[in-house]
Amino acid sequence: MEDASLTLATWLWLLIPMPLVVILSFINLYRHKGE
Amino acid sequence: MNTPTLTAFIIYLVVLISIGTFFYLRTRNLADYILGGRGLNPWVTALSAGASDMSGWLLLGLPGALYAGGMKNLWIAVGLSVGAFLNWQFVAKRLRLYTEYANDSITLPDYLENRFNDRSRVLRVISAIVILIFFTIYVSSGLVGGAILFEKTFGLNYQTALWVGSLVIVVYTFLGGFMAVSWTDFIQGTLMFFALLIVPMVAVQMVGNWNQVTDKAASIDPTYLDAFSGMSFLSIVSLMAWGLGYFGQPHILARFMAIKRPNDIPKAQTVGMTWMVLGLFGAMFTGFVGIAYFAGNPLENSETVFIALVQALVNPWIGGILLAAILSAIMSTVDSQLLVCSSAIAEDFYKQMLRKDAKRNELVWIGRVSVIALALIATIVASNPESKVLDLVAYAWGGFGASFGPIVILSLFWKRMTRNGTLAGMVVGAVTVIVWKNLSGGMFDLYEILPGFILCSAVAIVISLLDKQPSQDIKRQFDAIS
Repeated sequence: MEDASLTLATWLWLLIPMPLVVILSFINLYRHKGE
Repeated sequence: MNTPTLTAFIIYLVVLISIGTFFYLRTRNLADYILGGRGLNPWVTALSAGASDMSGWLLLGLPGALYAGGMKNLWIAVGLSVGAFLNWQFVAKRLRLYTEYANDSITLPDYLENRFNDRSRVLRVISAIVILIFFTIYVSSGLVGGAILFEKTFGLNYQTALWVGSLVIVVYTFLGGFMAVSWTDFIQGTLMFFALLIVPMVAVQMVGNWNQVTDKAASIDPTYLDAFSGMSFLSIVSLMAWGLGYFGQPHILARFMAIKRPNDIPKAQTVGMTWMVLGLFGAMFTGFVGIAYFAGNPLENSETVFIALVQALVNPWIGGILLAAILSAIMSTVDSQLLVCSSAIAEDFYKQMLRKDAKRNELVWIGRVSVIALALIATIVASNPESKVLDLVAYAWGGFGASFGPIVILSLFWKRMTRNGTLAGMVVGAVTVIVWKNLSGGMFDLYEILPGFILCSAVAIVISLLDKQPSQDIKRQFDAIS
């Protein structure tokens, strides 16, 4: 059980922060659109 | 190496050299050469920043770390993504504006000298020394990468592969002249991107499906699947601290300075971050799938995992192009690093300290001799067959991150910063990294960038506060940027 939760936590760390910075970059691009 | 692979390998290199020569012939002066006359479009800026940043490290080092240690190395990728994002978000535009305003500075030593109006030249010389030390280590990581490629594809032993690889790279730097052009990096970046997406996908297909990959990896060692096994809080922080390095890498900051319109930076940021995050994912999955693919026959050197997968899985024509792409990615990075070092020796030392009235031709020759000397030193550093691309990059990355990172951030955002604070911080950052690297056990196992970054920041702030206020001219310049 502990292994499964660690694996899940690994996937969360893998799949949240890295795509998040890409999404934030797109938001930033949208905010500066037309400059 | 079979004939189609070899043919594709050679054709790719010839095309790349032709493109480099084409742009070299259009180069009119030093500013053109170093920053492309501040004329880069956002796509080229983004991908060339990525390619010159990552190169052999992304194709060999990171997949190797995942192959050898499993998911616990994902912290490096998380730290790097966050660091790169913050660098684009907060540093890029301001640095682009400041460097143009501060006497049109084209390099980091140039910028520091102009930012603090330092007529003593000491900031320029000390920052050039830091650049020489850590770029030599960076170059040696590229030479290790080249050696691994030649060893694996031509069946040479490590030492022969290293010297052959180094010779090829030095000849390329000489004959091709200044081909460290952002456009060739752009092509490398595009190719690396596709290679890193295609190779792991094909590898997963060959193993069966994703579940079979994870099952196979877990059957070898269940800890491959989780990022926390055997990791303390400090070791996680230590790996994530890679992200701090971004603020001080001269070759990456140069791409920010070169962008044509500061308002293009959000677009370049979006392209750059998408490229980087997908590339990091590709590199990590390449290493991870390699665990399952080579389960029955583990690789001797973990950093050959990308090359071994290309050789095993891909059509030989495409394989040749991908292998050439690794070599040319390494070459374009090593080439530009050697040239930055040679200009540091010729312009910042020789001309500033030894012969103020040196002629152009004399400086070119001093630069060329320095390329050979530096390549020799880097080859000797790389000659240990146990050398790992990742270890050497970590050292150089840490050195730049700790000596220049806090300096770049503070100089852009803190009006009260002084030349003496900058100087003291830079020296303390560099010395901390070198000392820390050579000690081991306990807290010294922490990645040296973290203590280096903290001490550099602290010393730069304290000394600046103890120092007298910056001149009105410097303050006015700072306010003009704000």
